[in-house]
Amino acid sequence: MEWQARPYPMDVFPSLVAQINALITADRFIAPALVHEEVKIVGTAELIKWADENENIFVPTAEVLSEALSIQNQFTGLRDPKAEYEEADAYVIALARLRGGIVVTQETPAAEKRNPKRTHFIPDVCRELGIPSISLLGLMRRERWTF
Amino acid sequence: MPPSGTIPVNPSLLVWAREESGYGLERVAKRLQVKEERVEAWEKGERQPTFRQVEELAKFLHRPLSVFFLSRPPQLPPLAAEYRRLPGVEPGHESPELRLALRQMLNRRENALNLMEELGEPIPEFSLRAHLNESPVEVGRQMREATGIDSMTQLDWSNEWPAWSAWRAAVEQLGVLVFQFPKVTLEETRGLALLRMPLPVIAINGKEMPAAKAYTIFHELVHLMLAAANEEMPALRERRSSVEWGKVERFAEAAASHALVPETALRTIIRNQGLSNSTWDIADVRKVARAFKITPLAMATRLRESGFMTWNRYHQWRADWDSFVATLRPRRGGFASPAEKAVSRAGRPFAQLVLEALSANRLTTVDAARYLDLRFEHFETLRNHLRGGPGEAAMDE
Repeated sequence: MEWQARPYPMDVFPSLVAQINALITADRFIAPALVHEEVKIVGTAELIKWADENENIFVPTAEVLSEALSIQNQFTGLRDPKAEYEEADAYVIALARLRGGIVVTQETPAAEKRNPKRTHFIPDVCRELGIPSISLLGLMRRERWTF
Repeated sequence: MPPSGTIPVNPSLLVWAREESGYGLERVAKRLQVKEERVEAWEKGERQPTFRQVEELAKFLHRPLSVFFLSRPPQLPPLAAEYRRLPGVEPGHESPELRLALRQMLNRRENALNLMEELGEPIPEFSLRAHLNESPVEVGRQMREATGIDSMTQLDWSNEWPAWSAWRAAVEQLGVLVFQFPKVTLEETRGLALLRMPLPVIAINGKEMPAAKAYTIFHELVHLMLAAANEEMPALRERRSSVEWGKVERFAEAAASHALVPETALRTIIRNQGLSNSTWDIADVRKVARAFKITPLAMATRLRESGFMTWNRYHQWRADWDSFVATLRPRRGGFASPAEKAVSRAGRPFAQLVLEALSANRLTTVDAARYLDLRFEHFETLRNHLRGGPGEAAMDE
């Protein structure tokens, strides 16, 4: 959601959306179902519509749950018992681990935060688990997309 | 192997999550459209729910899904260790709606602190103190002085809406987060204070009328001042008898009343409106209340405080007032945009903090939207709304 909400909104960067859609067609772009839930709650109408149209990219929570719980047990900062909802972070990492994927995230590591409230954010966990993680710009470079 | 579709959750976590949320078995059973006995069997470990049922349960109880798979219940401080003693609310027996509101407000406060630290902003200090051996009139005067709002400004406000916005902004400047919560009945509570320092919280029931909110915010401010001076404890640790607690509440009432309606201004208005010899029927009390933008009931209490009404007259007036109110049509709320509602709920300083952290890339869009309970598509409206200066939207419309 981060990329389309701020740096690359869908109405301004339609060719980026087309490239992402091409990844989807090639079965190279997936996300845990929790991300879909998140989009439905806080996303823009345009993103919700896009997510609904691409429902097949969302992997059911039950398929990733066990791996996500194991990651949360290892990196307890990914689980907040006081929270009102489940954070998708561990599920994104779990999915990448299960499918041998690369995590695309705009989240910054703990070292880039002034006063991190936990020690491990998505890039930190990925680094420790040996899972590649890149930003959206990193994905663009990796795929050699130019605009 | 569990039966097809079921999932092995920790039964003790099912009990924990339900009880922590303040629900009985019947409400959970009704929501999940199963029999009460079925929920009981899950909680005893005799049966297992399906994965979909666990997901539903997590949504209903506002809990992370993974909490049901922990090896033991999380050790969280009781909610009653956070809020001030509330008349009629037994610690640990709050309604599910109040319990959720408390959790949300505690999380919001924590998020505010984290964002301030992340942005390198100083955390404001709440420095007001009150002692029960002080005169409530003097405490009221101190509070009023701290707000920086003089009587002339108050009397010039067009109605109770700008009044409430101004009082709220003034209290927020004292190092207090002012939130509003929805869905809790006024019978359970009109307002409360979270006695955490720094950055304590005053929370106002969104169902309240703006004129009543002004009184409640000062009432809660007195409780914060007393707590800061160690004169009162959170509900869980407050040991006074109800009679003794009643004295604390009366102190807070009197101080709040004097803060909202300073003595000199009250006497001037009464004289100017030709009410010096009034017997204080409903119309006369309403007239003076309108001038100060407070409720007639709060004004009657204030008039009693200053000796304009005897206790007997006050009791009689209250009976008349209750009969009069019963004849009124239920209040209907106005329209507020999602962005206005977010500011109304979380307060302008918190909304500004979230936007600042977002601009500084210290917060993701998802978290920003979650923190404000506002879809990202409304953020531009939110920015415009904040640029417009203090305003106030109805909460429970």
